[in-house]
Amino acid sequence: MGIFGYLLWVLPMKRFSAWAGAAALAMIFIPVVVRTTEEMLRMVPQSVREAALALGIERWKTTLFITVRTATAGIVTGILLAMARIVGETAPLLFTALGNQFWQEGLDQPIAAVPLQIFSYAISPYEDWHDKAWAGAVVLIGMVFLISACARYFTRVKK
Amino acid sequence: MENALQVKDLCAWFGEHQVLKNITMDIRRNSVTSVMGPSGCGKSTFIRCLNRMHDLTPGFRVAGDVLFDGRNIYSEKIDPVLLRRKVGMVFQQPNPFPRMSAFENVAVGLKFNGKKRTRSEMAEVVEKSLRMAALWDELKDHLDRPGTSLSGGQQQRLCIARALAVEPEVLLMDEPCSALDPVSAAKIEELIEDLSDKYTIVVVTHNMQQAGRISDFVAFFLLGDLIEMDKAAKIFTNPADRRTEEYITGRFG
Amino acid sequence: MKKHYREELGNLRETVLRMGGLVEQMTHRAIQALVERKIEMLAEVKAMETQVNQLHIDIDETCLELIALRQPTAADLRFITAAMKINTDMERIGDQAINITERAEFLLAVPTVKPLIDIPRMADIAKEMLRDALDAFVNGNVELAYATIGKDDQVDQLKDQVFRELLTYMMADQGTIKRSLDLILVSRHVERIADHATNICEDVIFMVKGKDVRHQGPLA
Repeated sequence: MGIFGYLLWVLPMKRFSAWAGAAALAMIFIPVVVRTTEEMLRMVPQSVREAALALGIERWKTTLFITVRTATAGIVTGILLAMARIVGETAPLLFTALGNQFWQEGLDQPIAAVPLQIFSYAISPYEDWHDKAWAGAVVLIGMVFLISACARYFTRVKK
Repeated sequence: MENALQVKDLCAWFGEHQVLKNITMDIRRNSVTSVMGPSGCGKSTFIRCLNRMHDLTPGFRVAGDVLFDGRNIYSEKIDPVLLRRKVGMVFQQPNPFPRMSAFENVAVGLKFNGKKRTRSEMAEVVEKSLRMAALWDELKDHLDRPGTSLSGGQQQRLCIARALAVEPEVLLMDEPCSALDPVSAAKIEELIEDLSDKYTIVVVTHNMQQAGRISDFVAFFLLGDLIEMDKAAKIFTNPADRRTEEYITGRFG
Repeated sequence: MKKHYREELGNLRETVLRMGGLVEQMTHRAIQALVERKIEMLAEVKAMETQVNQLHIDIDETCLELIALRQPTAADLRFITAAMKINTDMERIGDQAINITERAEFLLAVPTVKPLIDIPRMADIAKEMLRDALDAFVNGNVELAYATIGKDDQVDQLKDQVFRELLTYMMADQGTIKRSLDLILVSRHVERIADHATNICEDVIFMVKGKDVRHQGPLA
């Protein structure tokens, strides 16, 4: 995937960049989300759709406002799973975003990323860099956890 | 006009299989008409033809006319979406929208049907609809509860309120009590009787005692044919057709 | 459009009551015509009979529909079946009143045998029994029903008294036989009316208590 991103964006643009990294991750992210969303929408019972149609609600409004709303929890879960998946991606970023030790000057520049940083620290020969890599991993886990918790909170079913 | 709906020579097919054969009947305004018959007789298919719920079913085909206010609902000039606002429907399984409060469930039809309304207008319509569905007193302090957290009978009345909120003229009910316990079912039956002052109601039921209790008119279907339609009292005391008699006396079906 | 079950039961009760009022009135008028020798009253009685006949049909139809459509149970079922039986009894009372008018037509065309005393008394008791029976029906009053059944004996005794008295007239003067016999028949008709009132009371007791008190000797 990294090489694909490299060919598609880095070569024509002749530089590693945040954009290229984002595009590479999106290529992993979007299919997963689309697939789970589709599945979730399919799982909404026909009766719900029928109920909406029988109220004289147009079909597109039914899908957009009723079916999607019914499936919210599932869709959000799908997004979360996909996020959790890409948060830890290192290889594609290596070929697209490259990593950056210095101040970021723009999204068309190489950019740092937590997994990249963990990777470079982890392969370094220094003991205290290894410790920093571990800390980076904790931060990563914390972020995933936080995102999940927030999502769960906002999509909870009121009792 | 005396008849809310006039059905003329209605035929329907699922693929090659014909499920309705030349149904002709008039449905009287502000009355309760029950459609009964054994399973597979086409009664559910029939009432779904009355608000074009089959439009999206692949392989479904109809022929014949269904006149609503004198206009054929299957003509190209009729928008099925607008039709369904005038001819509402309640289903066998109570199906409140999940992830919506009771209030939203009732308001949802209004919210999406184009006209802008203020919050207070909306609340007014919701209250009126819930009152008509005999649910207001039970629910007025719990309007923010999810619709799906109510009891089965309450859910079904919520669905009735939801259908009433868009101010239909006709209410189609596809076995509205068959998924409910007897007490809840009795409440729905009573509600149907009350509502028939203002609405034309068509109920599908395979429970003939229920048809007797709630109906002004009863239509008996068998294998896609309309065998007999008459006043409920006539059907249940002296039906004209032998097959109707056999069905209501429990000799077959 | 559809009326509520309770409402329909209420209407049935009212219709029964209306019919009861009519047959009571028929009895009253028929006897009054006989006693006061007012032949024009007889037409009134006949006019009422057409109404009673119509109610007879209506009530049976209503009951049949209620049973077919509402599947009544327990108290409601007893009420409806009682209404059907009471309906029959009331119709027969109407018929007896008509029979009285038919006798009266002849009796008013000829001179009296004797002043009528016992027959009006019988009729008063019979009417009272009928009225009480219907009251008992409407209010579900079992005590009143029992008390009314008890009055039937008085009517029977009066009938025997009328019979014995007229027998002496007939033995004394053969010219009075036809008229006396007709009077005896009138007393018999009144006695039948009281019997029907008794039947109504028995139906009321069954309706209220679910207990059948028929054919069990006096006041079982």
